[in-house]
Amino acid sequence: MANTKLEIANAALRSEITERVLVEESLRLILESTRAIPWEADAKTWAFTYVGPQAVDLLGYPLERWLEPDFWPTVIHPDDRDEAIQFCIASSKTEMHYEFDYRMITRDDKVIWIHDIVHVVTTDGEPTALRGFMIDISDRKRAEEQARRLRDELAHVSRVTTMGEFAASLAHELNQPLCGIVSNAQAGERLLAAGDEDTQAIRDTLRDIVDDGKRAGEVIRRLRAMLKRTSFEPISLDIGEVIREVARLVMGDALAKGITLNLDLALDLPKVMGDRTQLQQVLVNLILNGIEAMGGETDGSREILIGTARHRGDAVTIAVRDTGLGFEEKNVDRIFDAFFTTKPEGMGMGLSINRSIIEAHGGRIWATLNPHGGATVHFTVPILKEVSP
Amino acid sequence: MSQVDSTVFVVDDDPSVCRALSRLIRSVGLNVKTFTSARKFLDSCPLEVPGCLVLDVRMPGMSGLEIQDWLDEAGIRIPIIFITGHGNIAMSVKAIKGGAIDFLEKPFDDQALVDGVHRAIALDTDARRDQAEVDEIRQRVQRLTPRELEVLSFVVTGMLNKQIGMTLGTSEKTIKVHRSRVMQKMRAGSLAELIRLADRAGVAHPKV
Repeated sequence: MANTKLEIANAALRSEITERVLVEESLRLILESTRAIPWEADAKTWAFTYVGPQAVDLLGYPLERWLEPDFWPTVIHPDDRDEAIQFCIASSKTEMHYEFDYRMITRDDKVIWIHDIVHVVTTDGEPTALRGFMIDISDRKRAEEQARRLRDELAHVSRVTTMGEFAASLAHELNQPLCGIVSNAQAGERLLAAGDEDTQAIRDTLRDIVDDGKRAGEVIRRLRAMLKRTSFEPISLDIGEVIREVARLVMGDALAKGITLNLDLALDLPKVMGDRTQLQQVLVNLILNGIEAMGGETDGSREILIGTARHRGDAVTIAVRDTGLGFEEKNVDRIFDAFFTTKPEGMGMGLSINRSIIEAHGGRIWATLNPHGGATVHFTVPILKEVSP
Repeated sequence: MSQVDSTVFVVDDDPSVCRALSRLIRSVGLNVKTFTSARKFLDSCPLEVPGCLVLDVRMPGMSGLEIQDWLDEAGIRIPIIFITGHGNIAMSVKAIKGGAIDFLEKPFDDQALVDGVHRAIALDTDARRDQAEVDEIRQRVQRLTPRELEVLSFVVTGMLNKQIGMTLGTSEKTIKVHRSRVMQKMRAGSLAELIRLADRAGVAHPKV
């Protein structure tokens, strides 16, 4: 009688074990066949205690190498290493789950992009183990890089064509100091020919010639900066100074069309993170649009106003306002779409390129109609954040 | 009126250009005054003084061409030379049609500007002299009585005293007396001279 009970219990146990093994098998199959590579590591030493077999194909190292101490830091790309390690240390203290991207170097020296998903296991409040998945996102990263390169190229092309429309301004800006130089020099020649003993007058003339020469050089320098093919390089900028430089550049053209350009810049704005050339490109484009919108008017004041203000503590708003025709209310969201234009000869690229530049800065761009006619385009640029230790 | 009494007025929003042109014009012995805006120039009421204008076309506020229009509408005839840092054909045509002496693109040769200024001042000097003469003749006309003015307007059409008398309903003799006084007051030595003076003064044709 006791034997039968034992046999039944044994049979039940065996059946349970078989079932568990089967479940374990299917779980293992799932884990070890997907592109998400499972892993587990010691929370203190960060040595892997388990890695899915897919890891072999990922980097080309056998599984035993993965389990060696210090394997993980050595295969991280040197440029990403410090940041990745710091991020892990910081996150493991405060988070239960975190994800981050970094590059790894394969056995044959290729670079791949990894997206790592981490779960922190704690015992008595202390992290004891880390578990997660690694996913190869190299294709996606390459596609993003390609998109960024194309966007920068498009911005450059647009910038060059735009600058062509400012030929009038540039000619005017260069001819002013040139006129000063030539007239001063010729006045100097006449003074000398007259046998005048007053050398002070001649010295003043020469000083003015030097200043005008430098002024002309500045104009060229600004022009070259705008035309340069650059990739997106954000640096710390004083947005007021960036706007003032653009205003000097376009003043001539605005004047030629009888349009006043006014600035209303807030004082004491914090510095922003931005690419000078690309931000200036956006401003130039918006001003050009404003000038065009006011093209047909002959009465009333024709003014473009550029203003700056603080925006919710973490950004600066720049607004370009004109007193022109405005746009139709129903189009307020469409005007930033590529190829949308209401102008017969327009290509509709300007505003959409502006949007892509502003979004690359982490800002927003939008347009509103003014109560007394015309439109205002606003955009934000994030302020420079102090890097926290 | 010599050129020495004339002043060249320069209006350009670029102070460096103003300084350079001031030196240039002074170096040829002329008086010069510079202004960095149209408003400053017009507020200084400079137009009692003979001279000419050197104007930049493009300036913030009132442009050079707008000053030309303003002066034209105000009936002020001062010769203008335009200078510009960037001009086009339409702009220069408008300026010349508006009566400008010249239209120079910066940077320009100093001789071109100096020649233009000399020409302009000569024109202005002549114009002022002409105007002074006309004003003086008009003063002579002012001294005529209404009847004498009437007789003058008929005399210059070549009508005989007798015909004038019939038209105006008086005797030939009376007409002769009026005529003599007219010749005296107008200081005309002959009929031909009288006709010329009446013409310059703008005496209207008789109402018949």
